[in-house]
Amino acid sequence: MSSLRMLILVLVGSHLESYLGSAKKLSDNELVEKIKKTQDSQLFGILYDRYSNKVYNKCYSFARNDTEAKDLTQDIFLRVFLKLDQYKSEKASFSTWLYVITYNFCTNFVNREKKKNRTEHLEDYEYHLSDHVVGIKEINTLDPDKLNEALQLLLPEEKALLLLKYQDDVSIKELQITFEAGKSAIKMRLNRAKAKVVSIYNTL
Amino acid sequence: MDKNIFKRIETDKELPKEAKGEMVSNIESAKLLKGFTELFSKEYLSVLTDFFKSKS
Repeated sequence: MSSLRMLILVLVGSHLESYLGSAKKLSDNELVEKIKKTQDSQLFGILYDRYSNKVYNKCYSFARNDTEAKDLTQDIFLRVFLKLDQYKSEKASFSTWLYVITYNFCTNFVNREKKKNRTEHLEDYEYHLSDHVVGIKEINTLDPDKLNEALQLLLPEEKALLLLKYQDDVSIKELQITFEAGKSAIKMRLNRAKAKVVSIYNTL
Repeated sequence: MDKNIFKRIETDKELPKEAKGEMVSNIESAKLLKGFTELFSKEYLSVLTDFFKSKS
């Protein structure tokens, strides 16, 4: 390699390093705006570094398989890049938007698998919901492994809603905007999902 | 230990290192495809329309 070529490579490399280094300090929203303008996949790589493992673990919780979880994660990030123009920071934080897309992918995946394998979720099961409202404190006392098993038997849409609220700390307000539903409708869906998961848990 | 059971059941797996490179390459391919699609649907649409008109 000629020394001139080497010098160019070093200069370009160090310029890229400092460009990405300063971009790493930006907030999610600032990065998104920059990516929207530049369509730069290297900048998008910074968002990927921040959230890919989180998304991967969410996918794993639905797919229960490393390879499927990895493929889902890659598809989700590609979709996020292509749909980045649709993200509105005034509606929800970037992480909430990303997790909603993640759960949509996971829900579709589970429903597709369900059709393929003709397995039934507890949508068609015999279960009885009690009238009493199940509080989060009550759920926190349950056995984690058994709860995980019960969540697998819940409809994926209901599981996604519970995870958004209690694992990702998405506020009721953000859920309202995301699902275009009223406060009472969101609370009712959450209460129903909590009651159902506890009911399933008690049958295990 | 976190009191919130939903946080406790969250797994702590890591994506393989090569996944990021794959994702960047997927994005570059998608950008290229998008570029071609836009080129043909906007720039060359009239050329294609004229071509098919002249053929019929």
